[in-house]
Amino acid sequence: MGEFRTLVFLFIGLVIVWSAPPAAAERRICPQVRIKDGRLDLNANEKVLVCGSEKGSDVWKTVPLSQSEYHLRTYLQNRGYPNPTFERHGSELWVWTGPRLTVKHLKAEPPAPMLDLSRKRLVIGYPLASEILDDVTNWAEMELRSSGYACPNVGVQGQAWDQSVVINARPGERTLVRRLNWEGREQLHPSVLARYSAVRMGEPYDVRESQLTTARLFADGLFQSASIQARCDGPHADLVLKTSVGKPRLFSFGFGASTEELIFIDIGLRNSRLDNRASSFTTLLHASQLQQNLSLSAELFSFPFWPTVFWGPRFRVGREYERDYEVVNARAGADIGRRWDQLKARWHARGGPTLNYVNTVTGVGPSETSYLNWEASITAASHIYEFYMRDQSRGWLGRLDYRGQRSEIGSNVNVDRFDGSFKYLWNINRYSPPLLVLASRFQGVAVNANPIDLSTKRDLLPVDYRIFWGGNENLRGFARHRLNNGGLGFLSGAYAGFEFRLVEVLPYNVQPFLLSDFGQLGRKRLTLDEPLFTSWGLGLRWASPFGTLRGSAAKGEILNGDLSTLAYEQEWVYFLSFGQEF
Amino acid sequence: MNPRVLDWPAIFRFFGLLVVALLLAITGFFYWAATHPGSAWKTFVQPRIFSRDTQIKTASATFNVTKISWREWKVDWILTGLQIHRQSPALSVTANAKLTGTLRIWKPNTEFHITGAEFISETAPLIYESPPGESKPQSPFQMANEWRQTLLQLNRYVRIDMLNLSIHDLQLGSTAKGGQRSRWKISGQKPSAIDPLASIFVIEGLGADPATKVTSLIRMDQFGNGSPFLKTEIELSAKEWGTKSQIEVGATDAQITATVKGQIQYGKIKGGLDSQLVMTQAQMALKGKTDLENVPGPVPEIKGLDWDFQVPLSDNQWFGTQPGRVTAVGPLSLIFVKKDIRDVLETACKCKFPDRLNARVEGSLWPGNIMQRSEIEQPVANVKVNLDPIQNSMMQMSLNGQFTVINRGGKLHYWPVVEGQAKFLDFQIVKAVLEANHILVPSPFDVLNGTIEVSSKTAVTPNENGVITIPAEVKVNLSSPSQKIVMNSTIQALIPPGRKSVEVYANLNIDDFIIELPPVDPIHGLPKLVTDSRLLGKPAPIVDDDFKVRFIYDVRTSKPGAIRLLSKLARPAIPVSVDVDRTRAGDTRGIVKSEPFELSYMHRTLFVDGLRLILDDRETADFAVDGRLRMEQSQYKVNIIVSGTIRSPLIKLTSEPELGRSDIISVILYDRTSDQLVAADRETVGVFDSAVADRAIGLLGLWVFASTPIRSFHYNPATKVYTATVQLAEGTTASLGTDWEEAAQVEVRKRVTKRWVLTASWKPGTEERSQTGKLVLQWEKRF
Repeated sequence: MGEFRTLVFLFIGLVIVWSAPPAAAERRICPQVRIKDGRLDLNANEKVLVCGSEKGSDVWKTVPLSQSEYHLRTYLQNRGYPNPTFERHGSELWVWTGPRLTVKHLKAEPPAPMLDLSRKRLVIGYPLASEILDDVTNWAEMELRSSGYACPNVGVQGQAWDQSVVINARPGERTLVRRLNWEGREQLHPSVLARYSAVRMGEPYDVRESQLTTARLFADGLFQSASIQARCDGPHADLVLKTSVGKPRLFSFGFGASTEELIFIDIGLRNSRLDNRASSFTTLLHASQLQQNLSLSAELFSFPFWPTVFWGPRFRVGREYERDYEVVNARAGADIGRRWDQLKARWHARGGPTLNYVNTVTGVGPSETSYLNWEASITAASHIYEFYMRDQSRGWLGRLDYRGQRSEIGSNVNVDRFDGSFKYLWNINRYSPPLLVLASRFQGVAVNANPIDLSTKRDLLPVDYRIFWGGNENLRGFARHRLNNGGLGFLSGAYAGFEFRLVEVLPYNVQPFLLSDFGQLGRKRLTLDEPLFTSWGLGLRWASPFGTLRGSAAKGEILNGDLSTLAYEQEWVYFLSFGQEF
Repeated sequence: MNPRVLDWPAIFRFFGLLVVALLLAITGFFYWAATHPGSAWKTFVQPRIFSRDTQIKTASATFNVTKISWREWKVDWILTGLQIHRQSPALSVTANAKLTGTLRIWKPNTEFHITGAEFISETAPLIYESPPGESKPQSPFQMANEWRQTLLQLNRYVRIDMLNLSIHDLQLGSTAKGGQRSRWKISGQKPSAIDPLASIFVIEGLGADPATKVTSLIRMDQFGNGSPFLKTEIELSAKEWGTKSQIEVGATDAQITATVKGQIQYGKIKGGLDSQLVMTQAQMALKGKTDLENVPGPVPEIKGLDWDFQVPLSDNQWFGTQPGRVTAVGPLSLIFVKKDIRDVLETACKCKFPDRLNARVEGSLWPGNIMQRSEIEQPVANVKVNLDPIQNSMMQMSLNGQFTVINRGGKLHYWPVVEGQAKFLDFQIVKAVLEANHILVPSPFDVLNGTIEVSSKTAVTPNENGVITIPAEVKVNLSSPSQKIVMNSTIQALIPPGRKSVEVYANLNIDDFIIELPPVDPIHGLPKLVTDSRLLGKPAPIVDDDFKVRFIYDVRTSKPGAIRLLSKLARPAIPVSVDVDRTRAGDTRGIVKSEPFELSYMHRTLFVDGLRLILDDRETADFAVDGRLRMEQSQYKVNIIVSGTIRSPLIKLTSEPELGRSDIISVILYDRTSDQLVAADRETVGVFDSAVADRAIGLLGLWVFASTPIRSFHYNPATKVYTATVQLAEGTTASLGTDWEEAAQVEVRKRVTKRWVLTASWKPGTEERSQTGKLVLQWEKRF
């Protein structure tokens, strides 16, 4: 804990130093203009009007000092410096930017109860400049359009005399979605939209649901353009979806790296429009040092009365190398699945039998076995979570998985595995943008195998039915899959993890967080052993333009340890991930 | 028979008796009058002087006549408590009077030598109203001469040694003026303390505005010999004006002369006057010299103005119908609005501006029509004013005027007509002057040179509705090696009654307007030229009392494309034609349109076949736009038909050969149809299409994106804000927009080359694999 405290203090110190404003210094932005205090960064075009330009003809080589002064005054005022002063010294113009006006009040006139101004951050104390007004305008529009007001009219102004930003919002009528017309679907069946649309008729308009709908259409690769426009008609909003369908087949070849496999190669072929109900077929060849596999899958929407239900045959064959085992496996199965939206959440369910072949080359597990198992899963993500997925600041995500096999049906064991996980992101105080996010995740795994005991027959249990914890996805104070019960794996597990993240405070959107994990594992089914595995640490998250970079440093500790835990090291573990979230 | 012979002795006896009887009667009458003055006054004098309704009474009356010799009597006459009252015309006198003198008849001359006269009225106002009557028209000379004759007669027969006159409240009026009376306080003494031979009278107005005080010294002994017999000092003092003048009047049989010297003041205007009047029966001539200071307007000081006025006179007419001739010559000081601007001007033009300009006034004056009350229009004045022109290397300026005054129904109406011309010969000098006064002449106009001419001829006088109209013409002819401005405009400024606003009507005709646009790069966006209107420095003022200026204009190009905006991006230039009106109601209507031209950027060319901005009555200035643009890509020709408004243009896309909308956008952005694009670029096309469909991308954005390779494009339909990264030359990129969209996807793609794209993705955990993140460099083909 002492080391942890030291790290925290160091971190806070870095934050303070990083956030300190730079000292003012005299700067020359061009030969004729000197900024005596403050800072003014001009873009290339602004510089042309202030300083002239060597490009072009003699007309614009220089500009009169009075013109420089005029434009500088405009730029400074737009940036929150209302009272700059100027002096001419020969052929030079000296500029004092003066004190920067900051916002002291944010108010709405007339009052707008649908806008909770206390939730809007990054306004009070910030420069009274055009950027702030744009930000407040965008926020107000987004809030209104997310609250049922499809056609609001928002005006914002900044008042220098009382340093306030005043919102003039005319939300119009609160609208319910009346209809959603689809233009440009070509030969696609209208029912195709049902599995993408987050919009429900008769419910209050929410622009986020429209955006989710278009984003899902894009993500599937079926459409190459999609947009939804809202038209207001009194208390109703009529939506028009305009799409254009793309070419159905896609061939791709790529190579890359991941947090798990280092270098890999992917070759894929996908047909996203097998029929007018947009049934799809995908094949992917993946090869890396740790894995090589070929997978073939399809989603066939062949049920005329249930347009969101699909039949999903699948086949996969491959080879895996892990620290504790090496397996060759093949799987073939078929699922019935469904994708739909309900209760402001996105649901995805599928289930069906899978015929498996597993050859455990090294490690604990059956050397060669075939079995039939059943697999089912149901996933739900709130629309809010889906909309703010890149932000990772709010919403919930839940998942239930089942996998089981019966000795009576092509298997030599009876085993069931139940996985449940739930993640909740809480934007504390619902600020916009968020200030503090408390992320929590809970996971429970239960493997019910009878009769398997610890040492004699564990090798009958396929590796899929054994729990190996440790790593970035659960107990971060322990190395990946390090908690492995001597290589046998566990049969029960319960986990709770938390992150307390600071958002939009540090520059470049770097988000520090404190983390803690708690987990208990059980060597027997439906039983949790006494040792409590904990992690404490801190990390940084950076939503870069390329994806999310996360790094963490956590110390694993075992409370109530026993002989079985002696093998596990309690040490500092560092993770760096790309694209991975909590 | 013998002729009758006249009995002359009898005749002589008869007439002699008659004469004796008459003499006895006359003597008896005079004796009776002397011994019974009251009865004689009442019987013979009063009825002849006063009307029957006049009541006269005295508290006591004493009339003593003492014979000095048979032709000389001493008279002592004392009236105490004299009261004279008459109802109409009103007459009321309450006074004490004394008269002591000697009446001498005949040798050497008949004279009433008053040795002492006193008239004191201090207990009650002395009221006199003149009866209505027809006054016989007279010329000024006749009127003056009549007074002169009266005084002459009086001076011949009456000599006053001592006089004491005091009327503390004299009220004079006229029944014709409806009972309005002026009130005066009069005192007179002879001899005066100043000159023992002169009488001094002091007349003060009571409650009058202007406050009036006239002090006059009269030397009756000099009356008639031409020397000044009357020296008067007049003081008039009102709220806004006043004068203190000294007048000397002299008279002979042939002429009346007067000199007037003094100070006058009107508001802040002060002046000195030194004039002479010579009036004969045939003519009145008035000339003098005047100095004025604090005169409002461009010439606040007039020193040494010599003027001359001569008007013929005719008997029995006030001034006659013949006009008088007025001339005036004098130097006017050349004063500048700002004191230091003279130095600035002289330094800029390397020349000297004169301190004074000579002004000449010539014209006709009808003084007789000034007070007329005829409904027929009568001329009063018609004069011309000419000012010496200013000419130097910087400017040529001349100013002339004409002033016409008429009398209609007793009211004076005037029409000043001012004609001015100014030609600025060197715009660079003008620019130097403007900049010295902190008036900005921005680039690219600061390198121009040439002439600006302003001319105006206007009647600066209200019309029947009280509106003053000031017209002007402006001609601009400026140029530089690559630029040219040739414009003509006619302007009318209308100032309504109340003078709290002005309407300016301008017709601007543009023959050539060729200027160079700043060499900006469209990638960095258009820089803001004015402060963000949403940022308010102070509360909006209440403008009711402010002076308002309203512009109503009409701007036209004389030929298509007369406006040419030069830019390296446009070949050969951006030609624009304008036909715009702003009406009196404040509506701006018209058309601004471009002629065909090309826009080239980043090796891509956009042909603008025509683009029109239709100005109509919109408060938001988001005007309608229509036009047609063309892009010729390697295999397709794309036509972009624009409609809608500036901020939300509606874009219709067609192509040859025919393509679908998404493919057209793909060709615009990437010069390839969508099937040839990688997934990332297809998505960009789709999102771009959404933004265009939402009318969130304006024309500039469309052109920029058409001209530059796009690396990424994000669009937020809620806020209609897009952000994009575009590829510039030299491998650099630039970002457009201000915020990253909160993408709802978990995959972020960046196109590296034509076919290769870098994808960062995160996959949630599956049955086989937990969630993973990966970075993939991927090649794609869609078919």
